[in-house]
This record gives sequence, C-alpha cells and structure tokens, in this order.
Amino acid sequence: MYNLIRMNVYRLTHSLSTWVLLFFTVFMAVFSVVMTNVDIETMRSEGPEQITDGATSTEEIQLGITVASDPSWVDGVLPVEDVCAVQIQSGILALLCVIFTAIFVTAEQKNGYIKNIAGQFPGRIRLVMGKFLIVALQILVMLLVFTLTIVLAGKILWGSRFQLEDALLLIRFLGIQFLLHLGFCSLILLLGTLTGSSAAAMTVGILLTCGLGLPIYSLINRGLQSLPVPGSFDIGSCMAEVNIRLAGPNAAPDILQKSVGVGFLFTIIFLFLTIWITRKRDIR
Amino acid sequence: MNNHLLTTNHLTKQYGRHKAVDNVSLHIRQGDIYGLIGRNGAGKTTILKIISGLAAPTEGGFSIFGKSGRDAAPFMSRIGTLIENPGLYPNMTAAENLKLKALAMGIRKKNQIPELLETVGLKDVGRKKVRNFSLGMKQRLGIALALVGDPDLVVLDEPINGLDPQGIAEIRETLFILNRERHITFLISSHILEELSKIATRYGIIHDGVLLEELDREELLARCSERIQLKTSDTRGTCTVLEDMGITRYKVVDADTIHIFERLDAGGEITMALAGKNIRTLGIAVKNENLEDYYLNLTGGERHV
Repeated sequence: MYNLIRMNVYRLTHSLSTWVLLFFTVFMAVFSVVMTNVDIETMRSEGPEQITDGATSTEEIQLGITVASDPSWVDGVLPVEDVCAVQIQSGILALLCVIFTAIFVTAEQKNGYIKNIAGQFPGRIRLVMGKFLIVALQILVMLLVFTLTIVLAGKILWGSRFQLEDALLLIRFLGIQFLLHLGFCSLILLLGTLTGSSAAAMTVGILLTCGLGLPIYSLINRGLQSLPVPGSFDIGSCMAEVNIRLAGPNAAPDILQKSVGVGFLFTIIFLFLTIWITRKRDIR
Repeated sequence: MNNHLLTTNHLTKQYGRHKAVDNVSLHIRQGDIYGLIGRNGAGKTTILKIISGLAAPTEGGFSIFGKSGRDAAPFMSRIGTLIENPGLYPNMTAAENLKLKALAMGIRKKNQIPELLETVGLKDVGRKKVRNFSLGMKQRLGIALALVGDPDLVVLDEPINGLDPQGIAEIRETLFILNRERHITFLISSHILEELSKIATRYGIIHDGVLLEELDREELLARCSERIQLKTSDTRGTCTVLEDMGITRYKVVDADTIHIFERLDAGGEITMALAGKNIRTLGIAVKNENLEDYYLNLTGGERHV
C-alpha cells in the first residue's frame, strides 16, 4: 500500500494536470474574490435587492455556478469564514476537484499503464485505495490553497474589514466541505473506473456541480410523493453536490449533521463499488 | 522431478457463448523461452492476460512455482508483463515511467533504471518525453518495464511489433542474454514465426482457443527435418524396394506417401529401382519445413498466422 501511495504521489507531482489545476484553483479564488468585490460595489451603488441571498434548502438552489454576497458586507465587516464559505459553496472548487479526479483516475486506464502493475497486486484493493488516498490528498490541498488564496486576496482588497471572527467555525466548515467534496469525487472515481473515460466522468460531474441534477431529483421526488410513504422525502438533500451548497458555516445543525452523513456515505458506498468493479473486471 | 515454473491447468476463458481459451494446459520449464504460436484471435493474448493476473479464467487456473490460487499471489510480483501495446505515460520520460513501476514494486535498487535503459538500448534518450518516441522505442521501453524488479518469468505479447530489422535482432539478442545470464524464463507470443523460431526453446501451438501441441525445439527440428517425400502407387512394394536398397529410416505417412530421412540425394536411384519392380512413382521431392509450414500444416493450411 505504501509503495502504491509513493507511486501515485510521484505520478501526481509529475503530472501537468495537477499543476494546471492548482494554478486554476488560485486563479478562480482570486477571480471569485474580485467578483464578490464587484457585487459589493454594485450593492453599494444600486441597493442590496440586486443580489440574491445564499440557499438554505434544495428548492432555493439556482442552476449554474452562483456566488451569493451578503448585503451587510457593503459597509460592515467581511467575515473570513463567510466569504470563504460563499466561494466554496458556489461549486467552483467542486468543479476543479471533479476535473482533477476524472483525469487522475482514468489516466492509467487510458494509456494502459495499469497493465504493467495490476498483476502484481492480486485483489486490486490496493490499486483503488492508492488512487483514492491521492485524490483525497489533492482535494485537501486544493481546498486549503483555495481558502488561503481567498484570505490573501480578501486582505489585499478589503484590508482590516476582512476579519476572521470564528476560527473554529471556519475549520468545522472546511472539514464538512472536505468530506462532501471527497464523497462527490468518490462518485467520479466510480464513474471513471466504470467507463474508463475521463470525458464521461467529467461531464457528469460538471453537470451535477452546475445543479443539472436538480430537475431529475425533482421528478424523483414527485414520483415518491405519489407513493404511500409517510412524511416528505427530498432525494436532492441526500446528494453530495447539493449538500456542498447547503452546508454553510452558519447552517442549521441538522443540515450540517446530514451533510457529514451524506459525505461519509457517498465516500464509503462509491469507494466500495469502485473496489468491487475493479476486482470483478478484467483489465483491458 | 517437476521443474515447471508455470503450468496452466485446463485454462478456459469464455466471453458470452464464445470460448476464447478452451481447456489449455501449458507447461513452461524454468529457463525456457516458450513461444506461443497462433493466428490473430486464437486466444494467445487472453492466455497471457490470465497468466499476468489481468484477467480471471472462467474455469481452470495456473500454478507458478508450484503454487496456485491464493497461494500463488505472493509470486505474481515475479512476473513481468508486456501485453498488447506498451502502457506508458506519454508526458513522462522513459526513466520516469520506469521509476513509477519501481516505486509501485518497492524497489530501491540504485542504478536499476539506467541499467534497464541500457539493456533495451534506450540509454541515450535523456529527457525526451515518451510521446516523442517511435513505435520501436516504445516497444523497447515496454520490455524494460516488464524487466523491472528482476522477474523470474517475463510474459511478452508480440514484443517485436513495430521494430525495424536491426531492432528485432537487438531485442532477440537481449532476450537471449537475459535468458542465459540472468536465467529469466520467457513466454512470448508472436505471429512472426520465423523470428520466434530463432529464439524459442519450446513451443505451444494454439488454434481457435485450443492448444494443439506442445513441443521442444529438438522435437520440432526432427519433425521439420529434411526428407524425401515419395508418392507411389504401391506403398507396401515400395517399402520392400527401399529395404532392398538398405534404406531403413523411412516412415509411411498415408496410403500413397512415404517420408525417407536418409540418402536424400538418391531420388533417381529410388525411382529407377521402383520402375524395375513396376511400381509407378507419382511424385518425388526433397522437403524441408520451417516453423511456419509446420504450423500451417497443423492448423489446416490457411495463411495469416
């Protein structure tokens, strides 16, 4: 296992896509902060009603990548944790994580390198775990780079108005978001392994990140409502990409608890399925 | 004593209703250069994939160093493979591709990568990315990858594909050296039978997923040796004539054909002797088969091996 992790770290650090995506992580963080500043200036000149507030339920989520700005930021303090949260909850980081996972996971299947090593690891669990741990590591790195870049860019743009009010809140938020991003990327790991196509895995991931799964979840919900099931069930709230948008630092405790559960279950279920498929299938 | 490094035991692989490999039992001894011969789609690659641990058999199995099933798992790292096209990272150098496999296998031996590059004739490629390699260079790098970790058995599927004549000769020489000096056993599939006949010490002939024959180089040479192929109207009478002439090394092949393995220059004399006994000679020729002829005769004579 240790050997495979070393191999995958070597592959990660020698892969152009890793550095390109890290560059885009920094770029998108700076771009997001700049756009938030534009929003604040717009609110200042045209009034706060121009900008929508953040989503607190599945129904309020908008399609596409949207960053919600708080009207109180116009003249007041900009809390670091809130500014970071709106950027991460927008799905920009999830988008980059999806692209990375799809490329990284399918690379050795596409170029056939897997044939050189798969036979040496009967059972193949270690092959999947090696890749999964590197995906987890890279998501963590991208999350930290994204957050730190936002902090730096925010400090430059807003100076002393940009303050960290509650470090623990920020850490808890980042922890939950890491789990959700990892769960979501575990789905991409499965899709990449299943199809062997980075394009297919990436497309599904991008569409889901942009909220295009919501109409499907809505249809499923309607179907479920017609069944004699007590209470209301929202399948969307059980999806990792939806929870990425809902689990803000100040979200209700039940939402946060659910997000932790969803992230954890997504990771376990899709990792297990990926291992199962890899074990069962012949290497092509 | 059983000195087989690898044996397959009624190996079968079925895709839907099609049996790609049907009840194949190979016997590969330590030190063999085993040539697996068969036309495209005969099942060679499937067998090699199963032995390399890339595909699971539908029935049967294989044993390596006398161990099979789960007991064989620790020995799978002793198998180096090059199956179909070499699997390489195009944006990495040759050394980086080798380093990846060395890391995966936990090999910390210094100088292994430069040595391997030298072994396959790629020591001067420097920082050149694999995407800029020729097909032959990629094939050599694929062989180098199969050699990472000093394996006991190297499985090579069409290793000389894409190589120029000089490259083929170099690879052949490399395989010879590795076999003789490092005692590496090779299992090689190829459709270039002439090349295979130059290095293989043992052959397995496979056709439509079925192993037709396994034979040593010596057996093959004996079967392909020079002989007079004589067709007459009376084989019984011909045998009497041959023995009267002192010819004893002959074999009746069918109702009108006899193969004579001595006095290959006595064709005229035999014809005259047969005529003297009123036996008609329907045909007489000196024959010398090569591996390809032998394979084609065995599998029904169609070309496109």
